Amino acid sequence: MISCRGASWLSSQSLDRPLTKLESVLLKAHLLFCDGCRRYDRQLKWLRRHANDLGHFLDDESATLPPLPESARQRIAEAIHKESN
Amino acid sequence: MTALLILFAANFPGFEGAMATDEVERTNPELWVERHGDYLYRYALFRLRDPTTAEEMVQETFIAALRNRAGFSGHSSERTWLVGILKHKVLDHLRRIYREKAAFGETDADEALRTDFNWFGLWAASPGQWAMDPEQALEQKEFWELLHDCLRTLPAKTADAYALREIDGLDAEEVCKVLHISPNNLWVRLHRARMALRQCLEIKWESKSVRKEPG
Repeated sequence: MISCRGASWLSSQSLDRPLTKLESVLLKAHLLFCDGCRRYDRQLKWLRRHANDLGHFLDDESATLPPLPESARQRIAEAIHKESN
Repeated sequence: MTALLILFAANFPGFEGAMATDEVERTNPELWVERHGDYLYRYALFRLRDPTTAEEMVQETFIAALRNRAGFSGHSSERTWLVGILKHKVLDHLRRIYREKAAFGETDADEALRTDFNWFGLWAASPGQWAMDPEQALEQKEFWELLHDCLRTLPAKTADAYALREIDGLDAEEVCKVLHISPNNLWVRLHRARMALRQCLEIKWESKSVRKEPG
């Protein structure tokens, strides 16, 4: 048997490399009996599914990240102007 | 479908060329800051979490785009093309800073120990149920805002590892190359990041939904 500490490590590992047969069996057995680790495993997978669409979030006009500051805007516009001439 | 289009285009020599010239003329650098400045800045800010660096990245992106305007094929939108360049700039930036850190022999040992588990290896605080429904657009926006806040609470190298792997979707091997670390090192960082982010999101979510309750 493995502890919650070990199970959470394997849940994370399963997202980055294939688990060995033994690891996979140990994790599955633990998840069968542990609500907390089962939720943890599900939530990590959920995060993976939803954290890969930054572009979509930024397309949203109401997204609350700040705009490019005015000073930088001018400086960059000048740099572009200089470079294109 | 793509194959059909290629066949179709192949039957009209000069078809692709004509389209490309047209697009190059349509991409006007004097309008870039106005059209794409905010978007690129927000992207860089989310990925690197530092306003000054984000500004630099936007400027470098535009200058690189200017020098490589012939590379804009017109097959994608101007925005997609610029974001592609920005992504490369962000990777270059991370490669540079982590190469320096590796050269100075910085290790992960100094990082504070997290106390997610008790002596018996059981959860100190068991993960709670999430009520979030990300299929709703409004909640999706909330999720990204919370994720941004939570990423900023992590040590930079942990947050960068997470963002490269999960947000950019690079495979583990590529992330190791950018950060100049071993796979084992990366796994530890990702484990820490996931553990901390999960907890942070849960706490922030809860406090948000409590505030939303009427009365």
